[in-house]
Amino acid sequence: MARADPPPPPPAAFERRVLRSAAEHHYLRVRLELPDGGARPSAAQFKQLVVTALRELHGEVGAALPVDVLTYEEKTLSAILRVTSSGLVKLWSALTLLGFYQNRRCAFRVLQTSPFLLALSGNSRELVLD
Amino acid sequence: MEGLLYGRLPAGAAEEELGAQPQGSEEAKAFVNAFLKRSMPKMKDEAIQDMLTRKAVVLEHYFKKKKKGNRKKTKGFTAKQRRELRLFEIEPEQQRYAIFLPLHELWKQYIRDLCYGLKPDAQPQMVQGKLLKADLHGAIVTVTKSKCPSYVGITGIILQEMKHVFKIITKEDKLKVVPKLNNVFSLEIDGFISYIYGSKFQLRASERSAKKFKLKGTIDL
Amino acid sequence: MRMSVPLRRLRQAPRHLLVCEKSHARHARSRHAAHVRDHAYNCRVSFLIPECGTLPEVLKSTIADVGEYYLLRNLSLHELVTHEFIDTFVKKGSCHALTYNTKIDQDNTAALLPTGKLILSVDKDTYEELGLQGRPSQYSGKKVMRYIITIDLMDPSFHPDSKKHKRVLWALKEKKPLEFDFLLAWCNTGAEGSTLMSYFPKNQIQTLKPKITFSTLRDLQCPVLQSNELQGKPEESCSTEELFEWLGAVLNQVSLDNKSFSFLSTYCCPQPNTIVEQAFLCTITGFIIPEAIIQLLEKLCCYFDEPKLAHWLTLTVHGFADSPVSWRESEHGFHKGGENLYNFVVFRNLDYWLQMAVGTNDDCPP
Repeated sequence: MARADPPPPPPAAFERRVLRSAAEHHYLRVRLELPDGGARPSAAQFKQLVVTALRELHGEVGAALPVDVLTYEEKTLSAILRVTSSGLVKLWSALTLLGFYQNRRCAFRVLQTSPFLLALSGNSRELVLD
Repeated sequence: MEGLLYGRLPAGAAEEELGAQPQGSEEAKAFVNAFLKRSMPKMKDEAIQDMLTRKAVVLEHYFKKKKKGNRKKTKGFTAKQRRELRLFEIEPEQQRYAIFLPLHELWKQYIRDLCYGLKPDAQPQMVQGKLLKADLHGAIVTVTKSKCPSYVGITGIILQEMKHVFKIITKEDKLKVVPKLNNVFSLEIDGFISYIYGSKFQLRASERSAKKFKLKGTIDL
Repeated sequence: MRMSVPLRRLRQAPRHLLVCEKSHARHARSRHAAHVRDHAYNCRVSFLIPECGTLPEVLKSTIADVGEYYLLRNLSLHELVTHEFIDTFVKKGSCHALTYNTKIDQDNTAALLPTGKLILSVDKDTYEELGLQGRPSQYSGKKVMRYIITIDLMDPSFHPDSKKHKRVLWALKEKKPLEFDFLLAWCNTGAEGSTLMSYFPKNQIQTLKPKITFSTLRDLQCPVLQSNELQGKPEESCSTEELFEWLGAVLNQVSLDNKSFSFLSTYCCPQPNTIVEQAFLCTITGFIIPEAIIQLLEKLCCYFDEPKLAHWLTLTVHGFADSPVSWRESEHGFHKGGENLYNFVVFRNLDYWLQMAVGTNDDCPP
């Protein structure tokens, strides 16, 4: 915000843009389920696990799919993943079919998915009232 | 012994003991011709000769085809005529619920008889099996489920059952024609409630009694 | 390279829409208030003010004014169509009601709009049993599995003795009693009448206050925006899509200082950006009626009455994923995420951007 202020432009005229299925990325909120006890993966291991899942189902080409781990919380094993829109089905299927982490049973739960990252910050299905 | 059997008859035995008259060859010919002429009056002599000389006649025993007696068809009305005469229709002044209550009582009695008294501990399967074949005229039914919401809730006595529709008289003395297709009817008798999936029930009452219902397919609307 | 049709479909993301509008808040024909009002059910409102350490008193009291709402447990739906209820609440204010913990892609759902329209979204079997006329859901395929029934409670022909009213009451009371937990909010204009609390039995209704959280974000990277450049200009300002993603990252606590070569994530704040020392983030969660959001938006516009360091601020509103409508009465479905949300970016000169986003089973926002 340190930029020099330009002279105030005239009030904006009405303009409307409709972006239809234009989102470059899709976002998934996932939770990894592991049997109690045992080591929890670190962020890097978690990403590695996602890549492994992709490789298992889709081979090397699948493993090359760019996936970003935007957030990862080790305590709850939940994360937000970002993937290019065309790879959503690949990533989702790979996560679903992954069954093992370091020879332990594991499962990915996809909690929420959206083409808008903003949508993941307010999930009405998790609205708890006291 | 055999020689005796197949040997000629002693001369004179035929005449004396069997009373048969030996015929001269001319006489025999005339007789045969006359016989043929009589049995086949429409054929010409030459044709008969032709047939005798050339045609192989298979000697077989034919059963005489029984001629069906030309039974007279009962002279009824055709469906078209019946429709024109409005035989299927119930006159407006007859469309009153109260009139048909005795019919309903009768129907209840009929079902009770059919289900051996319809005791409260009767097997529902048995009741259903009987109801499936029973006549439904006079039953009180309710439309419980329908693809078309406005049919839902119609209750009344069945006056007529057709192949595709029920004609029902409601308590408000309205005659409703409800298609069987895409409707589920409920039918209550002495605490037994049965559901009729109309889509699987599209038969005439008379045909239904002979039909074997199979537990097959979905019963979804 | 050509791909077979099913394979190509696998690569296609489900349809979604992002509508961006720009206009001026003081413009006579600006529709910002209408857009807020038309979006009846909101579960979370958050606003972010860059260069703001403490909230001005005006905003604090506005937040405190975000009304309470009610949770009604095991309410038979027919109680909402009785004339006692209609005359006491629906006709005397704006009444919002939405079923709670019902999933629109599998359960029956109901919603009462402030316009007095009761909207039921029911599955096929319930519809067939209910006996109320409706229409097939827009988003069901060849085999219709969901129906939408709309009942106008304010319709003059819906008086207590009418056939229509009797039929509705019979259907909901006797034919197929439907019971839900409801979220209710009622805002009456002027005259004080009886309250929801006294109308419903004590053990059934519960007052709830919206949950409010404040936080201050330190050293936040903020994109540079220019109000009349929706699409942004390279090297000068960011586009609305970039802002939208960035805001999502901020609200989800995604770290922005990722290097683009990082193993974990390649996301980084859009260019150009500036580092803001502190930014104020407030989140309100609950069942928030549009009137409260209009108030808040108005007060946020007034924030710029006095000179401020911030160039813009944002107000984000999340809808309910399981409400049967999104904007106005346009049908809403879940599909993959059920998202329906909008976001205002209010600039210092009171220009604003409005971004409205919906997922697959939704009409284009107004």
